[in-house]
Amino acid sequence: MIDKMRKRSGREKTFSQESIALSEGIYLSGGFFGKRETRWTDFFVRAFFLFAIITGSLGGMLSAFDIAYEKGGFFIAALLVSLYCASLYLSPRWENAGYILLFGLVLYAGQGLQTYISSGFYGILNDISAAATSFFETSAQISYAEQVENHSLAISVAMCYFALIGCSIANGLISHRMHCLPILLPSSFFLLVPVYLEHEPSAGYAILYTAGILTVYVFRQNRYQMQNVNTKPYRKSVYKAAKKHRFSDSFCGRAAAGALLGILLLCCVICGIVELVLPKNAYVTAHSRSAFKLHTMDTMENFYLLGVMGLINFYPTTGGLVNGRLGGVNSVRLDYETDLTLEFVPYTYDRMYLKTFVGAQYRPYANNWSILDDTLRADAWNEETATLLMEGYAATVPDHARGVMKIQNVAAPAGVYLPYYSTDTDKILRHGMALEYTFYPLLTEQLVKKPAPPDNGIWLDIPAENRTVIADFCRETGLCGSTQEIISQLRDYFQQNFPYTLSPGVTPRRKDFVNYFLTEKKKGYCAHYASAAVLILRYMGIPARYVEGYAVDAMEVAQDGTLTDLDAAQYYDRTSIRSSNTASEILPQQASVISYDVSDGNAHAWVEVYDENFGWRPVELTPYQTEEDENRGSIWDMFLRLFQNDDAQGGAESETDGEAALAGAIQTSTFGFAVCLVLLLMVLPVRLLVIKCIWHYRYSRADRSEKLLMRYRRIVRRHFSRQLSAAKNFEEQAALLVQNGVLRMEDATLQSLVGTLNQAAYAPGELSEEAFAEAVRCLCQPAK
Amino acid sequence: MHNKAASPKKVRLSFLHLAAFLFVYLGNILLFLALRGYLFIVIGVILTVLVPLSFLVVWKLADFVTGTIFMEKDTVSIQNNEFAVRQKDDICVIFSIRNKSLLCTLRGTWIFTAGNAFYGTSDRHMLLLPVPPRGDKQFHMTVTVTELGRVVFACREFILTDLLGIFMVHTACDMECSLYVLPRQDDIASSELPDAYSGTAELSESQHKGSDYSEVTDIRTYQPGDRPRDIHWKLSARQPELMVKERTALAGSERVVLIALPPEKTAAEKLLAEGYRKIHGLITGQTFLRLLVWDNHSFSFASHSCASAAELDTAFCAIFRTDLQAHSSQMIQQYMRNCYPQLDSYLCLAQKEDAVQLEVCVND
Repeated sequence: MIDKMRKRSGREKTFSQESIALSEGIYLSGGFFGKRETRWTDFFVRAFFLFAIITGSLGGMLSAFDIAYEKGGFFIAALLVSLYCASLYLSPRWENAGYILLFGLVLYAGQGLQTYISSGFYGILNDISAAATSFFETSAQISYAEQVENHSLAISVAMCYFALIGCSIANGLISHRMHCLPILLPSSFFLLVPVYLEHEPSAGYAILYTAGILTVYVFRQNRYQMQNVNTKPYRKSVYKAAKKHRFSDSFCGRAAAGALLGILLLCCVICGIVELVLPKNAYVTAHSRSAFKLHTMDTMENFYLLGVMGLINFYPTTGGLVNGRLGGVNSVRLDYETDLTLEFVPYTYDRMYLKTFVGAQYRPYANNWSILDDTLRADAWNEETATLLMEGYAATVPDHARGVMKIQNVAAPAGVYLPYYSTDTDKILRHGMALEYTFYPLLTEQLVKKPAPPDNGIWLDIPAENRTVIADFCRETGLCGSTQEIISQLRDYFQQNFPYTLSPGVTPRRKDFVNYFLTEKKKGYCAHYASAAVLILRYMGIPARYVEGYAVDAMEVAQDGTLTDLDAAQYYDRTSIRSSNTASEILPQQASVISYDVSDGNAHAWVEVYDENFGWRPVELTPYQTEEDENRGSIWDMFLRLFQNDDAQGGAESETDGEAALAGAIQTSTFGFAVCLVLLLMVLPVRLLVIKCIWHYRYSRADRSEKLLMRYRRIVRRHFSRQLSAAKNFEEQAALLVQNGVLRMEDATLQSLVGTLNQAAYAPGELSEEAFAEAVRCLCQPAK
Repeated sequence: MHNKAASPKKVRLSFLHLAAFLFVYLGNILLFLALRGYLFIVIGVILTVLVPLSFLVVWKLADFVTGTIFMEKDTVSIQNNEFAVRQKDDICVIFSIRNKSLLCTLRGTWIFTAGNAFYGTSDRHMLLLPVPPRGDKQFHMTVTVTELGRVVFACREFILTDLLGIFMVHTACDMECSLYVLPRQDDIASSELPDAYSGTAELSESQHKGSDYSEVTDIRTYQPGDRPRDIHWKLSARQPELMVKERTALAGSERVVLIALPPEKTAAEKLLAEGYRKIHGLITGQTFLRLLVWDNHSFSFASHSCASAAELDTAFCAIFRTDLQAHSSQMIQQYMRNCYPQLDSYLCLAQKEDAVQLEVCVND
């Protein structure tokens, strides 16, 4: 021992300011560390964190909804993944390689077990959906097709895969920093959902989850996250702390295990006592719903049916009618729940409209259509045309008919739902009510007499804020000719240049809805086209107005309508369809009464223009929905499609055999895996690029001292990070750099550089410009 | 080196951690009020029980925890369990904490000081260590000492923090560990010494008569029977009565070296480092050296005889035992004349014109 000491004593040392001074003349030299002990205890403690949190949250959710799955398999898989993830922090080199392997495993398993994962995921969603449907007492239920027949196996596979992903993410948060909140928020979601739906997780999972989270919290509060002595962040942080006169060596496997066991034991005991005092089943059946839950149930139902967008765009789930309010809808989400039930005799193959809102005056920047006042009411509801048609019917004029439409309000807003043309403008259909509207369809080429032209200029009114944009648009499109020609030209122009979409995005604040649509966005849904078209037609001198309601296509009625036994004579008189041959191909017998459910998918906005022969007539200017648009579902659907296999879209029958599905999935996954591998390889250059950008950003913000150190560190890392890690100070490092030909300079220059580096690192204040420039010049010497 | 029985405990609160816990606790309550879930009842009870339980654990634990500071035995042993190292050597300081109970906590904090008692420097540090159940936990700190003197690591307070980080139990303790830092034993060129050595030898040889090798250890009033040659004439001239020098006989040949320590730390450091080398060069094995260092506390010279390098180390350790300010005085040569009037000359180690010199001084 003495020899060793003497040997050490004989060694020449240079004590730079880089050493941390404990006091005057006492410097930390060989570092500081805790007594080396086996790290297995700590390894198992960390693995337990992951296992407890992931299993507790995922398993808790499944147990709450009584979803059947292979518990043993899931536990073993979760345990293995947790152990693997915890082992990543045993050494820094293994950490990098292990994460790449893990990432590859996630990708490969995702591709290889795609069918099982997606099927299991759908299975879980279906079970949750059933619980939600029951809780919200709604008739709508989201249901997904499961491709694998073995429900519990698919769910187990899916859960194992989610455990794999969950552990990978949680490991980064826990093992390095013991981040409690970022792990608590996402994991608690899996338990909050069932608790909200009044399904409690089983006690075992609750204990696991609570103990896991609580232990992470405790470890965080006690700074145990600084344990990982092998990592660079640890070394940096402890040396930084040491300079502030604080040393830390929190690594102690036995203390960690002791704390963990204590908390776990406490959770078990408390859980048992609470169960004895207040049995869970008794509580669940006896407790009442909170005011918060009662107030938020509608919103949550909206969320359940429409996904996240249901929370942020506040689009009504019951209908899709917005009564002229424009611009706030980022993306239209449809729940396809029944709003109205119609009973009528089909009389035309054209689109049939039920009018409920008429917008007279457009309010720019407020982005809405004004509601009519009483003076315009009769005009707005086309009472004159309806009266003329009624007179023609009464006078038994050919091509005049009378129909009755019975409308039941299932979930639509209260209002008038008026078929074209009717005088029942005072029949307000409230929720749950059923009313009969008498209407007189426009089947004739000529009314008994011409209706009076509109005497109100409001139907030609264009706000000044829109006039320039509208004028430019009309000039650009070259609209001209008769009313019919202009409408036709405008429809074609929209069809070719303004694609239809249900996700146009929200109109930005302080922007006008129509101007933004015509000049910038150039895509939208019916309300966009109807609003713009009304102003364009008015500009062209055609009286026009904005209308909302429901539109029902004859094809939809033919496909989805149900025949009833009701007497058709009560519902339609003097059948007189002009193109009866065509209509008979798609519609059932004309004499049948059909019941048809109208959903918010039928909600629509259109334009009414004034025709001197017939009065106000509906005009369709919304482009046809393309296939691409139709395929765009909600974000939820888009997310779900990530798990869908193209081969599996054939449905359950084609993929019911699990082994066949697995074989097919693996076959198809090879290409996917290759693509993932290529993407993985692309990650490296992208990462380098990002690091370089960050470096330049920091360099631009640093002072001269920090700039010099950044440049120096870059050279050090680039060339000999391994050898230089043994060098204790700038002097030794710089000597190594010179020795290896990275820097070329004389001894005097080297000493000067070392001095400047020491000054930059440790002296208060900033380097002078001259010193900085000189040091940079030295560092920029070309290498051999 | 060991802690004494820890006594009165004080409890302090960490308001930051308390706020964090309350945030969690209130969050759970709010969730319960909002969702009425059974899960939140269980969690709420756990959190409620955890606070007092966690406090009780740490309060009780404070009675079972003992600590020690010691240094790895990679040092030069001097005597009486005192250790020394050479300047710029590495030493390993070990902080050890021992817990006899099954209780544990993740954070124990040592408030320790590190400093040099000779120069009177000291800095306060914190060391965070977990306390494992029934076992010990050690923390190794490798340090290099670059200044001479007596390095002291001491801990006077120990803080145990509960699992939630809210309660901190402060316990007084008395742990200390020290070692001496000696100059390096570098070789010295013989050309640096002959003049001084031969000069003092000639003077001593001519002036010591009858092989009366003795030294003055005290001055007292004259009593009948005292030898006239022992009368301190110079002192007696200023006193109303005769003063005599009390002598202690010395065996064999002995050289007296006065170390005139300056009060400034840098100068003293230089003088001690270089002086050590020079004095070390004087030790031949045949000639005894006697080091004299002034001590303000006893108002006398501390005397250390050195016949070997080991004794020289011991002497330096003895010098470092008292702080520097106690060793320096402007009147040191005056005191030398007063205390050692029989000495006609001696070697004086002093700093002159920024250089450390060992020169012969005539004691007149």
